[in-house]
Amino acid sequence: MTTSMPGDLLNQDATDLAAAIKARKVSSREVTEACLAAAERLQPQLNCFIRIDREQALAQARAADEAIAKGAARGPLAGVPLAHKDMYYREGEVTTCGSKLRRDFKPPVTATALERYAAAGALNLGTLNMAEFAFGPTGHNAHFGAARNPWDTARVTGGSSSGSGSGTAARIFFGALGSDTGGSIRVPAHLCGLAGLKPTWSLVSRAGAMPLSYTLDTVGPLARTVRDCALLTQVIAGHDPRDPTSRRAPAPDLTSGIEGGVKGLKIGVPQGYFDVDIDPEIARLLGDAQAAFGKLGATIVPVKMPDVDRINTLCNAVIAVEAATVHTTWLRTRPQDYGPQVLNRLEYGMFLPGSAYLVALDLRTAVLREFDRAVFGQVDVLFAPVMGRQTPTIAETDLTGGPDLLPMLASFTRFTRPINYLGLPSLSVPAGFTKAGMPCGFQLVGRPFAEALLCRVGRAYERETQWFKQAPPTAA
Amino acid sequence: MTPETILDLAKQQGLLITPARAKELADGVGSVLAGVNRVPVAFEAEPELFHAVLEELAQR
Repeated sequence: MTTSMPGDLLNQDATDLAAAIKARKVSSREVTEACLAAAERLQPQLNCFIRIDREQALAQARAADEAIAKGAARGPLAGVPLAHKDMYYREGEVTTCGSKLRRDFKPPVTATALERYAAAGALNLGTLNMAEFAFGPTGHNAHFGAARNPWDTARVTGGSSSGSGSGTAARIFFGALGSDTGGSIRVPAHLCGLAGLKPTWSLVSRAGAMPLSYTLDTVGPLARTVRDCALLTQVIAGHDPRDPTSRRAPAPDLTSGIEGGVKGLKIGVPQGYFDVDIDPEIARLLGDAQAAFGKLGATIVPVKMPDVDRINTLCNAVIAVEAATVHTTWLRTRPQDYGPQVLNRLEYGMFLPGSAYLVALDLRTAVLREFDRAVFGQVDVLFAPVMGRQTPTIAETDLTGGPDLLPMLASFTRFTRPINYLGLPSLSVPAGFTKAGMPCGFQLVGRPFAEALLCRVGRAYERETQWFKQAPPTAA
Repeated sequence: MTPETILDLAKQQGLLITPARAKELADGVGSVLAGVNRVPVAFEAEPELFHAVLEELAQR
């Protein structure tokens, strides 16, 4: 067994750790104890957990080590500590959804994604902080407090998968489930210096996951590296009879071709919408990333964007009505138990006409076809920003209402939300740091079910740049 | 949509909305409606199934 320092143990990615545990260079118990020590030390600074499940994690680690010793551990994540956003149900265990309304909720079922991680051998360290009901892109939470960004604890993590971003970046665990309805995986990945994969709608089962907007919700991971995202998605993808909307196909292979490089690929750079209102420093980092792809052998192709403002508007109509529908009963009976920001946003959907919602749904396929023709008729992958503004502080974005609230929220999701309406896969990849020392990323958008290609392109870039090796100042 | 309409609808749906909030909601709903309403909608018997289009485009 290893004699490595905890920092060395916790700095590797999940892929390397899984190999080290399998080869018995390190025990799962050793790693899990280091993770738990980091969790207990850093939680007061980062607030990334809602609950730490110490004894359960240690029991799972002991079981993993015993199985490995007997040669009985078959899963690709055997003994690897993960933790997940507190909206994935685990039978009989409290799942708060980041809310007061579900503070004591014990679900009767376990989420398919959690079952699949368990079958793959992964451990669970606890449940993670999140925006209330996953309805907020900043990382604020009126009930549990904001999760904090380990690169600067005064600044936001992004959301809604705030604890997933904070704790994975801080080297407390090796990856986490987020969920993405309008950017909730990609935004915290970008702001915390992580890779995050929002899969094609329907690729990953949503059974046992808290609903926000069933037309747009997707389940996917945040991780230190793109290759971890590939592994963590592959393990949970594939048809699930418990989720009738899940794709009727086996899980795709996202890992075996991941080192294939980008030579000969065409990468599109948007002209219009995605190049507007970008902070100059962010623009410079994005330009550097495009240049790196050029050096790696890809061809950079300017692509004129279709009407993305229209896509955003249609997306807003869908999410407003579906989120309000899910919450209708509580909006009537317990409005005082919502945080003010979330209540503010939920109320809009109660007043949009049914025809506006159905128009937005009916146009979805036509808009997707138009986008596909305009973009993927010319290039293999689209390169776009995740956010255009520099990382704000928690205090600057602590708005509960008024005319500045919706524009502030839109400044987080204007580049990510349209992709949810289109149902397309998108991978957020770290792309360096601003002068303030805050991470910045880009997103790669592909055709439906092109996750393997996105991971191959993102992996080529991360292998070249190695940004993932830099750990934040508040870390294990 | 006017604030008065919002207040009427809120009452019918059992929601507690103040007049000041009704004004904000009317503005917000109006903005979304203006965006949706500028999109021409073709007369079609039935929209395509989203799943089917994802699968079709994935094959290209």
